[in-house]
Amino acid sequence: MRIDRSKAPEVGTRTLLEPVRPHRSRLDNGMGLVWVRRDRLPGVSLSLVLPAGADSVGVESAGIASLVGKLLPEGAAGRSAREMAFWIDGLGAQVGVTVGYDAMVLRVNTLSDLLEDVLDVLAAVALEPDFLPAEVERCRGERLDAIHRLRDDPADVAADVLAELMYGRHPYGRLARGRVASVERLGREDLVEFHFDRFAPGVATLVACGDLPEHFPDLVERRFGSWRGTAPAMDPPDAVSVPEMTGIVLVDRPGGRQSVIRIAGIGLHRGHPEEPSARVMNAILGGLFNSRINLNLREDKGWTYGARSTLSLRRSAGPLTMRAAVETGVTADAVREMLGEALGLREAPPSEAEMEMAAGALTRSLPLKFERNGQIAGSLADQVVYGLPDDYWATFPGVIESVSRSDVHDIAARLLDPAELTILVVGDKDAVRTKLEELGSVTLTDAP
Amino acid sequence: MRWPVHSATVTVPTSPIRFAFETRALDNGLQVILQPDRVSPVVSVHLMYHVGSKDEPSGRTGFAHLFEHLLFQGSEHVAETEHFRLIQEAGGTLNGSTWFDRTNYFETIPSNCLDLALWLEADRMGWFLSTITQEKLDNQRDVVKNERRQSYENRPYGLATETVLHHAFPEGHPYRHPTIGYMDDLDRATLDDVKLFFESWYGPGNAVLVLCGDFDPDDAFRRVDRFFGEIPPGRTLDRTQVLAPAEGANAVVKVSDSVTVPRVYMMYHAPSFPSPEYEASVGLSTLLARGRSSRLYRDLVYDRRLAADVQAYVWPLESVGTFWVVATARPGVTARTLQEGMEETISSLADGVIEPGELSGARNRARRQLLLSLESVGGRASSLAHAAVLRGDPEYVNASFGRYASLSVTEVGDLAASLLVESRRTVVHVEPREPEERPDSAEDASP
Repeated sequence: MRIDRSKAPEVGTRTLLEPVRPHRSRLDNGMGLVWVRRDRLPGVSLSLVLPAGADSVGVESAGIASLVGKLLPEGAAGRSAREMAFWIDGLGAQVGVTVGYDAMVLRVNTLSDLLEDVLDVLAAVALEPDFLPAEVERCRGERLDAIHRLRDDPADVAADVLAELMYGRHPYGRLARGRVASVERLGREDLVEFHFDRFAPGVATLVACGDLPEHFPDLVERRFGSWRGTAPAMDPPDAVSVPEMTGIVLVDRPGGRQSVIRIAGIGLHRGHPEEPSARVMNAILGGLFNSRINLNLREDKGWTYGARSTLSLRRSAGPLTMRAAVETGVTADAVREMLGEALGLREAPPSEAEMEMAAGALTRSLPLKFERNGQIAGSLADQVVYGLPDDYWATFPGVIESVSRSDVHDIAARLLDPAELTILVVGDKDAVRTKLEELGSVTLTDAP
Repeated sequence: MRWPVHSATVTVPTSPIRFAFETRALDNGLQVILQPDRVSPVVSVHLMYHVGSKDEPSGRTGFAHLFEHLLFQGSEHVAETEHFRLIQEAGGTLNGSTWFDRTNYFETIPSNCLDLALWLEADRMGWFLSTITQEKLDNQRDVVKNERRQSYENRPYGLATETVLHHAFPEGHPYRHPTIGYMDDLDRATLDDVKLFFESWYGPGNAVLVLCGDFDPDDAFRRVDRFFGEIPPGRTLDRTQVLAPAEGANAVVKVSDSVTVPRVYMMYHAPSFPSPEYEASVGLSTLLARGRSSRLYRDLVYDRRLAADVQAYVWPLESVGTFWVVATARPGVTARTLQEGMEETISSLADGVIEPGELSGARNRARRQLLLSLESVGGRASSLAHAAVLRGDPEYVNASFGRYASLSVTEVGDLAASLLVESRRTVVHVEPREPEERPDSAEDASP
């Protein structure tokens, strides 16, 4: 049977979101518990969320949260680092600590038949880390080595330099791992104190998703019920509205085969009333494959493997960043084109077709974001960190669909003002500088 | 130091994990695997062609991957930039990838959009050739050259893997070059190459279509037939036999890169993915370098402080496996010292005793990782497609749990003794480049 192939088949446009209905409770000591049973597969994802992110320390201590996170499993509850390694690996569990700006999250993945043992591990790691002096020395040394080594990667250099150019001595002015100077200064007492000050039941929430038994709260109570102590909820850092350093900045990378380009302005905080407009705008600018900068730099010109933009929604206003790695010879042209696309969005509202693409991608994709246990646990953890209401995702499609072309035009005008953008190039100075100077004055800086 | 191996023995009841699926075929030879799973309203559509970089004509390294890019440039009923737009606007994710033995194209979409993905995949299988132009070829050639620059040349240690392959496999061996290809070969690709490659490899008889997720199997099969059924079968292929070289390179190969510290790559010729010893090789890589209790991690990172990180992994190749052991030096440690440290640990494993506690942990890690890789419909579709294309047996996806759960000390120990030997090995040292030494011109990156 021949079918009509001349146009795309009609498909459903309704967002197929099946709401997650978690159980919520608190232990007597105040620890929050959020859990969802999904017994399709014998696995469990756990996330212990703590207000111990990198945004709550000054630049002189940058890296402390991340180093604490690295040390948690390296000796706890009287077991040495080696004993912990054998305990965790023997269970086959994956124990990871994610330290972002907004929070510290201890993530554990396990086979469900080993859940009780793995909860023992999690409690030991979170509540009773020993910060053994020899392990502190070793881990700090490893972290310093890693910071040195990451200079090898131009994309990593770009991330580190861009943060400081935009945010200076604000907590967002450093990557979570910190810098050599700040990490070198961290002593064992600093780590112990950070842990003591930030880890407490009243501010902690355990999120769990997967093949959990009905009596899961009892299992948690048994391990976390005797946890004592208090800790403050941490306020978000102050808002920044304009990057500290605007204009073109160049980091020399002799012989670099490409230039890494970052063009960034200050965006919005998570929960800002204009967040939906900004999400739509970002999707049109560079959040999708068919966004303006990728169609231009990749599909039209072939200058790059891909050009993208990201809107970093944090507790305080994070950056809106356009990014591409381009062949060295077209560096200045690529910067000009990327700026041109940003300007284009300020000059006129996007097309109706672009609005449909952005809204579809943002809303109809929701079922893909609630498929795996780890995704659901992650989303519930975000709800805790950002204080999102229970119906946040249920109302999300309607909120996005109500964004108008002029809303997008307005937010682009606000967030993409060329006078308030930081333009960073990591590339071969001798090859790119002269042409970059045609776009404006170029400041040279070194990688930290 | 004595390591507390005994504390790690955890006996786990082997959870039976089974994904029910059915395998059918269209009249034109397209094999269709249907794995319904109605828990989440999503479907993964995964189309795998049994062709990869090992099938490239001589002087055309990188062509299979360049060709994959071209298949996203539209077909008779799909305009040039529409493939990505339609899927992303429908809320889906998509990509393609090329490897030594296969090329895959996949979408995960909300389940009310299944027809869209089928229509797009069918159109480029049946109605592609007339739409390819020199302009599209030139554009994607530039994109791929930039992919090579971004992901390999301008990335620390990015060229190490292709250096290993180049020395480990003899001249003319199809695994000797990387899938990304070399710049001058990419420059040589022509429209005639595109036509010949498509006609040789992109027929329904050389492909497996896997659907995983929220659908009714009978209904989905009817839809597949409607979109793909009228595509002609294409030619039957004679594939060149790939032989397994028994020996690696003899000398240590040294290359320099813009890096701070040296890294040592060791690669052993190993059991292929379809081989009965494959799972033992994965178990061995886990014992050696996965997790902080693994042999190399505890020796080189914890105790001797020679390495900043260690890795061991196995590539699931169709014809001959590769077993990789990679370690990055700490500052001040030379590649030679690091290699000697790696060798001591490796030979103590190959010659010595594997303790049951060590192995039970490795089994648990392998099972958990397997579970994680099969949790999403996308991961499961990919695993089914790989098992069907490279092993001719999609049921392997279910059987593999049992294989990992029953790995024995003898099995892994025997493999360690026969695999981890110098004659099977190729070693590459990546050393920091001297400050005054500038890299050669960007177009001259082939080893």
